[in-house]
Amino acid sequence: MTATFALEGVVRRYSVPGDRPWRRVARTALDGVDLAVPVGRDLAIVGASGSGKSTLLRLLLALEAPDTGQVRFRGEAVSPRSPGALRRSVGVVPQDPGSSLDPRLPVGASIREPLECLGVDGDHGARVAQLLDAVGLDPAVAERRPAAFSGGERQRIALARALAPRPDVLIADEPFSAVDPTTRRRLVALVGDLTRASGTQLLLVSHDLGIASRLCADVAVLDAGRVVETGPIAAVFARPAADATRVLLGAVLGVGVG
Amino acid sequence: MSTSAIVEIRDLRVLVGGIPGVDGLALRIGDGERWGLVGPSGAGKSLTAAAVAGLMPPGATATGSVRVAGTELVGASEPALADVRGSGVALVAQDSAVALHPLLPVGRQLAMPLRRHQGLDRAGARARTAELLAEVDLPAELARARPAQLSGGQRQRVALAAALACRPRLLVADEPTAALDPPVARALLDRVDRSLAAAGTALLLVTHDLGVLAAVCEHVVVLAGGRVVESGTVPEVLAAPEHEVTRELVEAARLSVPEVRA
Repeated sequence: MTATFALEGVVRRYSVPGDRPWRRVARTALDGVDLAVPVGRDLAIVGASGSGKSTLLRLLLALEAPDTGQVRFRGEAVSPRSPGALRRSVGVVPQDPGSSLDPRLPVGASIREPLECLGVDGDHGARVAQLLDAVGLDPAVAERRPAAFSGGERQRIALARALAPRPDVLIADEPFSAVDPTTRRRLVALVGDLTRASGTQLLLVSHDLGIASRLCADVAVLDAGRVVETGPIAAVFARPAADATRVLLGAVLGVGVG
Repeated sequence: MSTSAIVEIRDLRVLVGGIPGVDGLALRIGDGERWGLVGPSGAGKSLTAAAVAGLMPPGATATGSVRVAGTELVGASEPALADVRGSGVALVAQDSAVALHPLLPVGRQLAMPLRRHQGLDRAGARARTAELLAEVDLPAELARARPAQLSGGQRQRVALAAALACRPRLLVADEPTAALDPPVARALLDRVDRSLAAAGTALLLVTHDLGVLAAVCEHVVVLAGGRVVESGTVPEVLAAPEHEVTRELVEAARLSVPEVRA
């Protein structure tokens, strides 16, 4: 079966500020990544800050092209200029909906926007109401602007927007890190319920290994721009093979952790 | 407990823009004790910490009593508060990118409280600054760096060093690890743990993450709606939470522990 995503020998370098304001130095964000994401397997991408998680997501979303290597979506090479079926099939929940939702637009219009851009058939108003209800918000709030909502509510709205065109894949970049623990727990349950109910494949970037292990079947561990370990998440966390995985597991601050 | 109290709060009420943020709070922290203040967003945690640190936000008015190291802070003048902040209590905030001066090398920022509160001369302050950086596991060369050149974890270590510079009897830490990724957060908490133990410094830690609480605190106060809804030792409260708010926080913290299968 063709993989949802396949990365082959992907290298991505950036030019970053150096030790003087006028100097720039090359930094390798991804250093030869091979990764296949099978259809239907929810994948958690974990790793320390600076390990390349965000770069990997930008490449998966075809927002950037690799310097060398290839990113394939359902077998087809994708790039920013030719994203193929990707834009229609993949939804994104960003880390901070406070800055990703247009502050001037009523949230209903924000949720409706992808339906219009992608030319989705059907009654868009009814779909927006249905989505708001599905994420636990009163459809009447569609007329309000993002500033009227709490961080957790804005994240629900971002989730509704991402799921609006019924994507096959949902990519979420640390969607739970900016909300308090009680809100986080409800959002985790909501993401799990909605993706399961609609059969949407989840790709989750998270610092929280516990949440990752509850939402995803597989894990890919990134360290210094390389994928150092992949496999079924419960098995990898039970017997980590890579040092980077052990460091992440050793840093878990939870209740009842030795 | 027979130890003398570093903090005694009685019937603290804080109004922010006329709205009660803290609504009748009492708390006693003995010398060297480590207390965590937990609760959902808006429970009054940060306002309580700010009252103890003598750093009330503009527009907030407090009534009641907050005694720190024997000094009443409610209604105290700014010079009196500044003296308490020097040696009685010090604060580490959530994001030191904001707390540290962006243009000054961090060594000079560490030297300032030493000269203001401990009367050290320039050479003495410089020597002590090197010691402080070593104590938080940072190389001495970092004294010349500006905050923007440091990672988030390094900045929090600098903030910790600045807070501990004048050997306070109480450290107030408001979500000190919220902006850090887990390995960096864990290392900072271990550092806080060792530094407090070495100097016998008391701690008031604000967090909504019970995992962070359990890593460094012995006692916990759970706030909701500006009031204490539950308190006790950390193991007792985590094992048998009584209030619904506490139970929700415990459930949320359990979520962060990975499910493993052998």
